[in-house]
Amino acid sequence: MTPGAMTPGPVSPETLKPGPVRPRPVPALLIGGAIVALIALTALLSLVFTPFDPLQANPPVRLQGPGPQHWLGTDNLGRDLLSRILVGARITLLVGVVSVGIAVLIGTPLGIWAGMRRGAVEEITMRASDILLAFPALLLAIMFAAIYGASTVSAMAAIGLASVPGFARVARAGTLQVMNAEYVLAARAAAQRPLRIAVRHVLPNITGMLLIQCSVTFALAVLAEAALSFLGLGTPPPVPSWGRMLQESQQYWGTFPLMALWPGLAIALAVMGFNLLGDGLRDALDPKLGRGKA
Amino acid sequence: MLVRIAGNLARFLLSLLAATVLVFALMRVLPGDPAVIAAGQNASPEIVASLARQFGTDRPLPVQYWDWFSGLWRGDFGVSYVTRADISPLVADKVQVSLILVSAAMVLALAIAIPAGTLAAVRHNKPSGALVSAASQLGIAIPGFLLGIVLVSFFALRLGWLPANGWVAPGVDFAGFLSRLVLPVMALAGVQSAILVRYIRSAVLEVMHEDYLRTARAKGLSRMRALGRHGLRNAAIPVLTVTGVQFSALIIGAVVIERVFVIPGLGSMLLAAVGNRDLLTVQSVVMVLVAITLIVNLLVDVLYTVLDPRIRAAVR
Repeated sequence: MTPGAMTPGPVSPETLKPGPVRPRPVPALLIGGAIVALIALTALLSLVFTPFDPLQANPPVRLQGPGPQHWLGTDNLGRDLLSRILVGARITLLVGVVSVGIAVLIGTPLGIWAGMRRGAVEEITMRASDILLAFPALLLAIMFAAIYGASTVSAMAAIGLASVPGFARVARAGTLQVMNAEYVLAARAAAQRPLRIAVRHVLPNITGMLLIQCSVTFALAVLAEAALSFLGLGTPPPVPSWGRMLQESQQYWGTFPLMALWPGLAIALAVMGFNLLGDGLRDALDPKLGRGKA
Repeated sequence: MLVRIAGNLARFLLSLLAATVLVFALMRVLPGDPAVIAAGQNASPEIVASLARQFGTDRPLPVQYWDWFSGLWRGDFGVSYVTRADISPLVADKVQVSLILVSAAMVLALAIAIPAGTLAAVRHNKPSGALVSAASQLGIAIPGFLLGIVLVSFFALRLGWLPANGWVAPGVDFAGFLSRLVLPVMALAGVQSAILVRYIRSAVLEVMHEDYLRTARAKGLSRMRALGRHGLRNAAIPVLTVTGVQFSALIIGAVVIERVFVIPGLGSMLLAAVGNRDLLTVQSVVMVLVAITLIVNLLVDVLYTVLDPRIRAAVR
């Protein structure tokens, strides 16, 4: 605590304004968090229970609407749509977690390093991330699919690598702010090693910004995975993924749109959940940005 | 200002050069010799060697890179290892289709987002503004290809108002061209306008609190006139940057939309080449897509310099 914090300063008109007694609850954070929790629970539930075997074809009941047996109906092979949606949540979460993990683990140290060292290191890192930004996740993933064949692993690697520049930029911007703070100046004056300063002082103070970036990147990863699977370049069959379910529904868009509706809703809900969570975190963690920002 | 534009140009050329190295390294070095891939698994070493000679892949990698790179400047992408077809005329053909699609979508997205975003900002504490913000939040979550599926199912397959897919060149049948353009452009523009609304809203909100706008209001201008004469020009600067970024997102988004609507653009060419493991074609199309992205970034940087009076003044 700074010595002046306890002594009353001059009262400005700002401080006299009647403010809210408690901080307003952040609806975006709550709604986003609830949606994300729901998807995580769905994926966990599917590990122990699904109403039907999601891979088991049952032609006599193909293309049925929702009913007491199959709550969301069945697909063109008679497979239970609810079970496939539940299991599909796993791929969505897996791709999101691994690709965000890759991006955090590579991008954050690079960004902190660039922000602490400045000079040539900063210039090279930022120019490299500019160039990588010209390769969006989907394009990089298509290239990887061409080289290594379509798989969940190559999709995760591509989405993760494409998201590295985002984290490097956020970490660098945060580091630049923190480096001028008094506690960092004190640590530098005490001749602490740069690694120690990075881990003890910089990282904890930019965690909020990184969390927001994680949430936004997660939404992008969900979108990219869905698009890749829709193109047949993501998770190969028979493992159900939401994008692939959309692709399989292509012949039935006119006659049985339910087959596209459920995976479509699931993708949209997941993306919205992570976007809202990111917005809510921004509102909650960064008072400077405030609610005026979209 | 000219110095700054020259700097932009130099950075663009360096980025383009780095991108060619990256694309070459990823597509040509990582997968191994294209001759081995083209010859198939059971080919004898003699066949592989003769294919490698034919493709020129028996030469050192830097020589191969220089060969490809110098070809790029002449607009010559080489001959496909799989189909043995000349790649350049195909790319030239497809790039037109994709650019028509993407440009039309960008224009539509801006035509929706500028009024909607301004409305959301001006009425940010009224229900109509909140409604626009909520709609944009929803729009962002719906991927373009999903919107495409919904549009096809409803307007083409159920109502039969428009063709579900396909492409006709504008010179051949203009009405047919337009009718086939409507749904894919709507699918692409939907998400983009939702994203742009958010940025335009926050840019206009920021401008609304500036001193010069208060001065304009104090002079007796109405809120809309003050905003129109002083605010929107300033709000345009951050929006321009986002539009540039979103244009590159649209180009990649079009790859998926072309699949939904069976449109013979760069995306379809890319996906077909991936399916055939036609790596030189993949390499060429990726390079074109990345080059378009970098060119758009350059244009945005230059426009930014021209538009922003602060930058103009600073560099004078």
